[in-house]
Order: sequence, then structure tokens, then C-alpha cells
Amino acid sequence: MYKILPFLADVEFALPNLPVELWAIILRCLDPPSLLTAVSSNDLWKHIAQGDPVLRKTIKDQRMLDKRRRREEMLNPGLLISLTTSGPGGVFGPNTTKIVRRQIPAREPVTTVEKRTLRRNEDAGPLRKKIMQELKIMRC
Amino acid sequence: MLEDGDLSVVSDTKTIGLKSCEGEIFTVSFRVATMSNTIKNMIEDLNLEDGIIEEVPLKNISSHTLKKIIEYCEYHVDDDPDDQDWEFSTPTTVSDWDSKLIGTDQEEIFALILAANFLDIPSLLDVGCKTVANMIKGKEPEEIRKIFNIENDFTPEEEEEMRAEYAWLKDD
Repeated sequence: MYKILPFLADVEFALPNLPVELWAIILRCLDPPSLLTAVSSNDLWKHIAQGDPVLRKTIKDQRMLDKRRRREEMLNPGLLISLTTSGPGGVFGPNTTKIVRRQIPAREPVTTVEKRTLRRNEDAGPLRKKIMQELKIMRC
Repeated sequence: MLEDGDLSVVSDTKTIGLKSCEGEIFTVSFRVATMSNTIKNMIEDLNLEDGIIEEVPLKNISSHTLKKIIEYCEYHVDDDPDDQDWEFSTPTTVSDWDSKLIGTDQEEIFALILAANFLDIPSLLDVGCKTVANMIKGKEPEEIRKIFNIENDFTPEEEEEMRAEYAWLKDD
């Protein structure tokens, strides 16, 4: 209704009557997740966010990041890299580098590791002898 | 005619009257008044540096708001303008003194933002916007509608779609 009759807007639409550019400044103060929820709460902010290049880019980036994250999760459930969407620096760190957090892979059971090291030691014995022999020949 | 920098030297003794929409006149020193870029430009353009200005009519600002603005300007008059960053950065921190001055009443906050925009006081505008941003931050759409008393203008289908789209936000 308020789109057709602007003067009715004040009655129906209770949002404080701030100019659009001031709302844009306020929305720019928000972090990406809050911005997305705020935009989803009413039509006016949605229009403002679509009109403002910075806000539009923030929302687009955030959605892209989320899409990618979901796709990665679907394709490789055991993927060890996760893109962080929140945190002190937001999505992008300084110099617009993407923040990537690497998870530490789970350790192999101790027994296999021991076996490997043992085998390596066995291999090391003859090899070392061979090298020493070669060195001796060269010296002669 | 004085240069831009000279204004602050002379302006300590001079006063200027600011008249609110109720007709109340507040007398402040030039130095405090020139925190507002609008008034500063007015003084420079009209070449009024050497006289005492009786009253400047500010018809769209109420006495209550004007009182707060003057209090803010008097407190922050010695701040170095280059020291503060005007970037509207994500960490929305407002100092205790400022948040106390601004208060929590929505109407007052928005009146203050509008007045700061009109008088062109960037620091006050920044503080006001950050206060509002803090009200929005980390809230659900329902809560935001409640705070600002907005009626829900999305259709149920649209809302369902929105909810599906933003469901991941609640993960972290």
C-alpha cells in the first residue's frame, strides 16, 4: 500500500523516517551475517541493500561463500579445509584475502606409525652399508 | 577574511546563538559551534568571523536534541579530527560517555541522527549510526520487527523462502 500512496507510508510503515542514505550508513556498520538477517526482516532495507553497491557486494560475497561451503561439504564430507564465515575479521581479512582455517588431521593409530618407523629402520641398515661401500671404492 | 586555520584561534571568545524550533536560544562559543561543518561553512561564507552572531535559526531541531548536540560538541571539542577513523568499520563500538548521552529512546536517537546529518557533524553521525547498528546486530528478523515496530510485509511464501535461505546463519 505504501508503495502506491507514499503519504500513507508514515501511518502503516513504522520504521523511523530516515533518509535512504542514512539507512545505508547504518546497514554498512553491520557484519555480513547480521546484514543478511536485517535485510530479510523488511522490504525497505532490502531495497536499500540492493541499491547500495557496497552492501550488494557484501551480500553477494557472503552468499557465494556459503554456497561454496555447502558444495564442498556435499562433495567431500571429510574435507579438512573450512571457510570461516564469522569471526573478528569477517569474511575477508586485511587486503581482501580470504580467511581459510585448516583443521588438524586426525592422527593415525600409534601402532601403524610404529610399524612404519620400524620398517624404515630395517631399510636404512643395508642401504647405509651399500653407500659406505661405494664411498670406500671411490676413496680407493 | 580569515583563513581556515585561523578560525579556531579567534573563536574562543566569540559566541554564537543557536535557536531551536521551540524558539529557545543556546549560546555557545565559536569553537564548539564550528564542530558542525554546516555552521562553520556558514560563518566562513558570510564572513561573520568578527561579529557576535545573535541567533542561527535551526527550525528542524528541537531544544532537547540541540541540548544533547551541544553537550556532545563541548565534550569532544578538543578531539583531534584526524585521529578518529571515519571508516564505518564492522566493530561497532561506542564509548560509554557517548552511549550514555545518546540514551536508548528510539525517537531521540533518530532525531539526533537527523540533526547530526543536517549540521554535518561526522563523529556524532557515526556514533548514532553505530548505536542503531548495535540494536540490529545479532537479532532474528522477528526481533528486529518487534524492536522497530515494523509490520511484516512479506508474504508467507516469501518468508518461507527467506527462512530456508538464511537457515545456515544459525549454525554458528
